[in-house]
Amino acid sequence: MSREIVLIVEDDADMRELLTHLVGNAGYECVGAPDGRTAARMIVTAEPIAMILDVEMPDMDGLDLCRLVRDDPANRDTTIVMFSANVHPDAIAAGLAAGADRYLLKPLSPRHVIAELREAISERAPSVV
Amino acid sequence: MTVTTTLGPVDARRAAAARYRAAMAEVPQILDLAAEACQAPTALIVVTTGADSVVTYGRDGAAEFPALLWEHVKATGRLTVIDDGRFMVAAPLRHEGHVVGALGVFDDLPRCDGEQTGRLLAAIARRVDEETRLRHRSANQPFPAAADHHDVVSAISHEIRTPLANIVGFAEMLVDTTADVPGSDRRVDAIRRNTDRLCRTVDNLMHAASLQMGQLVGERRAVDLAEIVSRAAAAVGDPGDRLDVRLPGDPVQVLADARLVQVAVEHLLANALRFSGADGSVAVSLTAEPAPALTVRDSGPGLGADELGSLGTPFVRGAQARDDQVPGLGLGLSICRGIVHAHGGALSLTSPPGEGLTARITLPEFDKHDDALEGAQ
Repeated sequence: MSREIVLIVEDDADMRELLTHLVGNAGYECVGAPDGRTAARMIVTAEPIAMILDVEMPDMDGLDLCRLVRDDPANRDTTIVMFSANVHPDAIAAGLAAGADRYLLKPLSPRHVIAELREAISERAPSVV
Repeated sequence: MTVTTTLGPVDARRAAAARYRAAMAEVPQILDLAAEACQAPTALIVVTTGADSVVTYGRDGAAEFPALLWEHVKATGRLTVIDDGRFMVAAPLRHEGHVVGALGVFDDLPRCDGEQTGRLLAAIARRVDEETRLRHRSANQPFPAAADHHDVVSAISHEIRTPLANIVGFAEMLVDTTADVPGSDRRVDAIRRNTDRLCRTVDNLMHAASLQMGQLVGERRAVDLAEIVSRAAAAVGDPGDRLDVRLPGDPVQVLADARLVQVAVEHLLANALRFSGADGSVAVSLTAEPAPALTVRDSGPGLGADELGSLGTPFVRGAQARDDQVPGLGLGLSICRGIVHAHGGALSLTSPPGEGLTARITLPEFDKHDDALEGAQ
């Protein structure tokens, strides 16, 4: 049986590598994208069970990508976890309003990121950490 | 709906003249320059002040610019030379495409150099126009419009938090890969602790910047101050069990943004723990009557009256903090005060001789009348 895919959308290469490693160790198959537009194309073929999105990215940011994903009924069950350095309450509210299941604030221990990812996948209930 | 008003030609000229006058006041020695260059005993400037009114600027303050000469310059927009017994030359002054005034030189004797003097005066007038335009522009130039403060603060936060997130993440990976290396846990823990410290510093700077800009964002609702104090106590950490927290059995309802008030309380508790010393204690008590009030009393050396007055000013630190190299920027109490004030509350600091520092926060009590406010925000 093929492993479940998590799409990691992050313009910071170090963070993308880190998340890919950790999510991979958590038992998921990982694919990465450096920007929202690339990720939007990859979703069609990868059909990820979940996405970890940075918010501030070039060429389609995380908010627009999130809305795009949520507008497509085919992605109804895709879990979206935003992992952002923007800690402003307005930014958090905007992320959740765009359809994210979680809005995690950087920096956060990768173990917590994985725990939140697992939990979000299982329940898809909006919350802020 | 946006309403745009377009000025008519008279209004526009009047407005341009007003701006010209304001800027021209900064241009020094125009009259001296014109009189000397044209070898004329008198130089005057006339500038429009209304539809039919003008003001004359002269060195002696009494002379009036000849009305007929001004009317001619205004009507034609051209250099005008009159040499019929009394010598008069006037060059138009322009601003934003309008003739807003004239620069003139006058001599009681007839002269034969009208054309040459006119060219010279016109050149001076153009120079005055240019100088005035530049001064007007520099005086009215807004600061570069990068300043959506929210964007600036967010960008700074992003630029610091992103590398910190990488450091935290890779440090955690090191724990797994160096588990059998003696001392690695301790080193990774040091990375984590220092990263946490940097994060707190960033948070403090962001809160301070938001307060400074008047852009503290929060959502006020009915919250239990006792619960906030409990959460704050847990967040600051108290491994030595030095916090003596006494909370009432019933909730203490206040109208507040819980997240922000928790930040304020955390600063008070962290400060008190820091300055009480390793063996000191911190007494924390919360009361609901007559108004919700939180009191935090440390067992440190306290502060003198001078220091007490300046405490809570951003980046101002007490002598002990400076002498003992206590980590921090001197923002905690100012952030605390700013948050409390933003909620309509107050922060008071007292330090009786021989006792520690006592900080007291009062916040407006929530009552049913606040329901409407709560719903509106």
